[in-house]
Amino acid sequence: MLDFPFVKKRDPELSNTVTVETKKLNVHYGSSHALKNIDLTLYEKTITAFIGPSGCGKSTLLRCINRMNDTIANAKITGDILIDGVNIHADTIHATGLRKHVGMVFQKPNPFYKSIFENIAFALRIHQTPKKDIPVIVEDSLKRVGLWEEVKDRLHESALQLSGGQQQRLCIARTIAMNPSIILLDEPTSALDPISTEKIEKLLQTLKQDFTIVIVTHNMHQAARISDYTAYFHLGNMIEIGHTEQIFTTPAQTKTEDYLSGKFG
Amino acid sequence: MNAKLIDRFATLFFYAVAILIICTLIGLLGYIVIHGISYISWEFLTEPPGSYILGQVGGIAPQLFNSFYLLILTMIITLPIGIGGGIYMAEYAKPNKFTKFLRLCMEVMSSLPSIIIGLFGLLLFVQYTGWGYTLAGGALALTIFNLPLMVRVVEQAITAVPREQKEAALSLGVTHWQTITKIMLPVALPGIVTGAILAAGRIFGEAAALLFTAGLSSPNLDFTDWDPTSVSSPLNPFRPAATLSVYIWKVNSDSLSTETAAIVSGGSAFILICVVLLFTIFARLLGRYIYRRLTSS
Repeated sequence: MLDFPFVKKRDPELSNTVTVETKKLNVHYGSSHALKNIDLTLYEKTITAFIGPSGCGKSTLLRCINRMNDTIANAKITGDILIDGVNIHADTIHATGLRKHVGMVFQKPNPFYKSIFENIAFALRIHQTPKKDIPVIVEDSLKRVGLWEEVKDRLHESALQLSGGQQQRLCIARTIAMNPSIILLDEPTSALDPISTEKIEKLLQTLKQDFTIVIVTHNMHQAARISDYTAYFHLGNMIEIGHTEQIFTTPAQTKTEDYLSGKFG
Repeated sequence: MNAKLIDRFATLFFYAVAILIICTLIGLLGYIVIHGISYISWEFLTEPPGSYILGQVGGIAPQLFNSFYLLILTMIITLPIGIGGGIYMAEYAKPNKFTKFLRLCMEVMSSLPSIIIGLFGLLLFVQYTGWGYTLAGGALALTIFNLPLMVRVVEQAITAVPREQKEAALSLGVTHWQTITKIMLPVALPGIVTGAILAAGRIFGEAAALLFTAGLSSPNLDFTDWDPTSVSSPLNPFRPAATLSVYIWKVNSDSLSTETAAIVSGGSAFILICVVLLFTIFARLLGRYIYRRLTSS
């Protein structure tokens, strides 16, 4: 296992600020040890990809960052997660406030059973956004994900009528409408066709200018295409993390090399 | 015998079972409709009953009203508690021994013989409270076996909401309670409405639990008096009230004229079946309508 100074040492852009840090993070689901001593650093306004075979703990780690694991009854989390230096498990931090700050997009597009407009407006209203600002934020969010032109004439129709790719972009719009600083994506394109996937990948490149992005993917080509950093996970361990180019060309660990060359996984 | 032949036989057997069920249903419904429909008249639906012991037929207006009113009263008690219980079971109850025990209790409660519930109601809601035979007592007795059903219906409807919907809301910083009320309940609503109306059908037809709680008789109702505290008001929940099913039983056991009993119970049974059938159809239509309203605004 490599500790995170590894990244810092080899990082040519030391000016990158740290956004998320985990220290000796362990997760147990009942008797299974899902994540083992994870020390991870994520940098502001970069894309980090988590790759690895199924069940390696990459989604679990993602769900620790916005405390979605809180909703699982038998999950036990030890160690620290710091976001901008603040421990997210501190008593002063509420999961609801944290999740506004750390958005999440899921594997299966999951728009609410509401209209396109309501899908975005719903959470804004819950968080007491002034009423007059809501249509502005809805329009802005839809524009940022490139969906505005496609849906502006049917904002009040059901979001379920949209195609899978459009639904996923709506879910991203819904997330950025909350103005988070970090966006977590859990295999966001695995249920989509190649054209929709490409659109989302391009979108992530633009969103990178404003947000810190973490993406879990089982598609290592996707990781190679879009990410700045790649972390490789295996059986609950983070085997290696580094610049994507370095991980894919000269991995330091043989396990990473075996996975990337298709020997298993 | 080869597999193909067995397959043929099995297919034949299951078709036979299906036909048997359909024939029984058609036979039963047909009998009730044919025997009942000729007795239905405007007077039968709007007049109070005659003295059937002496062979006067009269109408079933108070009984019909009582059946509906009792249903409404029961639903007023059952719905809030049932929805609360269902939400608890689906969202808050942890999978442990206590929850298992709770589930067992509810299953027992809903499967108690209704005559036992009637006797329990007699002890508690009639004698202990000193109310005597009342609509309120009847509604509480019906609640005993309707409540577990409602809890189950709500729990299943909420559990059937895709987990992704819940996660989506939570991931936007929406609290658990807001997620339940604003995201999950609306999606679950068609299921809840359908279940509630089907449960209502059972209440509407129930007799045994009401014999000793809501009583066998109705006072002379004044359908112009809508003050719930007045004794002769139909809305007074603390008056005795025979429902339609109880009335069928009573006429059959009391009347000296078998002909009168046949007329009254034939007509009442027809009305009863019609209402329950309407409930079922209404449940489906309403469920579908709400689903459409909620998914495409």
